[in-house]
Amino acid sequence: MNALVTGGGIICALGTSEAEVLASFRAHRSGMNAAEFLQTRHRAGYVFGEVPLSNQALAERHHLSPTLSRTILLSYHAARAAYDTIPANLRQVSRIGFISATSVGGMDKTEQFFEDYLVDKAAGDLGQVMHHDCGRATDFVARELGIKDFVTTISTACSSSANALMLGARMLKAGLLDIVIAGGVDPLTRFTFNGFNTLMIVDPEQCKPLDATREGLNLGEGAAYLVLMSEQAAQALPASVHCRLSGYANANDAFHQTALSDQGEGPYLAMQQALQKADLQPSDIDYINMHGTGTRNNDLAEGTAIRRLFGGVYPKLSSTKSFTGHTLAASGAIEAYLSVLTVTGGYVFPNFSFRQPVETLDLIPETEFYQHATMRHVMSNSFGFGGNCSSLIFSRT
Amino acid sequence: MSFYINGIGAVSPQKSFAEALSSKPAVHYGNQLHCQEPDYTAFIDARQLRRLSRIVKLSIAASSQAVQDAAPAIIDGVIVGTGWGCIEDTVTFLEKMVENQEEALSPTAFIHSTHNTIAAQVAFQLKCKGYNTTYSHRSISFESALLDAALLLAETPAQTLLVGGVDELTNTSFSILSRFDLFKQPQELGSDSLFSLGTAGTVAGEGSVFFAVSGVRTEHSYCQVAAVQTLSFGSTDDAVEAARKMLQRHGLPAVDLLLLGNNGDSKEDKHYDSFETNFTQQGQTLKFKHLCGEYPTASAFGLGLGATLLKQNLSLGSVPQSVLFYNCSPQSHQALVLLRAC
Repeated sequence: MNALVTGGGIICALGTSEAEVLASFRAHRSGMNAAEFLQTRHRAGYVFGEVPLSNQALAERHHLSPTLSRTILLSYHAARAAYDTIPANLRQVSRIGFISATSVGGMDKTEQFFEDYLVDKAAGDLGQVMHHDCGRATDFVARELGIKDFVTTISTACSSSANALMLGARMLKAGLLDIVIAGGVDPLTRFTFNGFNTLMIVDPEQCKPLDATREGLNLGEGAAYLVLMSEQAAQALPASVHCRLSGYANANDAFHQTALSDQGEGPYLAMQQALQKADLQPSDIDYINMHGTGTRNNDLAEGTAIRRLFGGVYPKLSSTKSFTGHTLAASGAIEAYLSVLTVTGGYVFPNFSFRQPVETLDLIPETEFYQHATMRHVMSNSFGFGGNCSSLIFSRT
Repeated sequence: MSFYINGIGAVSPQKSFAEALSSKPAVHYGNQLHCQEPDYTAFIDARQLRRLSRIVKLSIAASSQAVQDAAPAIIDGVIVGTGWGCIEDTVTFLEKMVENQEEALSPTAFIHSTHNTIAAQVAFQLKCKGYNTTYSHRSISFESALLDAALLLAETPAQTLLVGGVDELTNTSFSILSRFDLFKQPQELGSDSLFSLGTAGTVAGEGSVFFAVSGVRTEHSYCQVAAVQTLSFGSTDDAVEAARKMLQRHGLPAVDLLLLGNNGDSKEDKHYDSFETNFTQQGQTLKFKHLCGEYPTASAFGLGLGATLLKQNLSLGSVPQSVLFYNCSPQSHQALVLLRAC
């Protein structure tokens, strides 16, 4: 039994709804800009994929307190939109779970707390640091939505929300739940920006994933959640809204804490096992939404793994991180959301720019946004620190 | 969805579960229970040792013990639950970032700050390229990991997974958590008197407990994990009802032992007392947080204790055949685990 995708919610640098995100792609408008809200002292020299709403504006939109973490505000925005796609009568009779993902939890508040705490151990607003742990935002959002049949949080760095979607599908398959809202969130924080920046894998300018001249990633932020349903729960809905989460796999590169192996062993295993799970051949895949961070290491390792798995015959592919920035724990769900649009709406998402292929590989990404009628199976890749590699496949019903 | 615990490894405030269950468990004074750390060179190459953070060392030691104990052919996956993650490295990077005003930072602490560093490093040691994930959801982080393992083993029983519950107690985490009035005054107690004070607050703890679990029973098996369930935002009555249904499903009119997560905080213990009154006539009760302290994944220590009891029959009178484990953080999450002798 496959989990059916029947709806979702998204917020990222490209917009606060599906319509806004699609409009940005249609206009070929990248979300990478100077930061308006992130208070890093390096903001002048870098571009970020920042959500174009302040905490205040996000909070007002949802009648929430502006003192909440940005993690909560972004998560709530996307999860609320996803939840609202579930018909009210179905909500009442179904066992519903909320599986979220984040890499830094409420770090945006913790780093403010530390400014005061480091001066005086008795100082600092506890109302800030109380948002620190990963489960805090998940619990807040689940309570607001009234979800209590199952609630948990996954934290596997940049593959986090792909794993949340995978767990959701598995719980439906096991018959433990009828509906799952699964995805993830990460806000821009000084912590993550400085972390990636000291690793010297941040491109100060618009990033160039899958390009030989790529110089690193751009950090972004956002949240996305998909509504997954068992076939039985989805029976009441019109078939046109469905696609299937037909394949998924999680593997570990077991090579290095922050770098992928040259042969992309973890990515290869994740993609191969996801195909196996979906009972598909590589040639069945019509489009790959790559992890494609724009770092030298990722794109080479991922590209190499794709070449190994697909032989020389590549499906359409691109990295939408060139539009959204790398949204860390949210990226798996944001890209899964886009992949669902590819399957249900035939949208092919482009790379923002492309000049020459990654060394030794002849991967040529899509460079134009367009609709193509026959997108049956789409693969979405998410890899992270700690060798965590996950791959999802969405298919037409 | 049942499976077997075939090996256990732990680094905790107790030297071993056998010691914890003896008449003379280690007693800690003050309001912090720190791990009794082993000689890591028994588990980790000495050159590597210097580069690893403490929480990773705790976890490689504990997971190595679990693997030795279960002696499986291979480990097919690693699943970790951690409430706080790698808090020491997180704080190190955060402090430097604030103090140096975002200049001249070293990436080392950042690299090791992500929650999945623990499962990643355990997998790296074992060269395990299989399933690997990390849960971080407050007091049910470990139970989420256990539930994930149950799902995997229901699909493919003939594999062995490492499932761990890990949290570290650091000076900074203790200093900040103390300001939320979570802990008793240090002069109040030795940890053996935790349950007799009847005052507010608990004691802080830490630990790394790993289980080698499989759908296949072996000669090393400690017990069967018959059921795992988490409840969110419910009442104690909801947990009682869920526990009753759980026992019913498994044809158990009663359990021999109730294993409870009381932490000595009078405000919280009343929830456990209320749970207990629904089951006590049926068997004995054992509490464990005086042995390990309170921390988000303390339930992993509790289950290690329960599993050891079922295997070794270090019985409290009669030999237990079934253990019902209950842990809660009031107003948010509750967890139930049913263990059975096998």
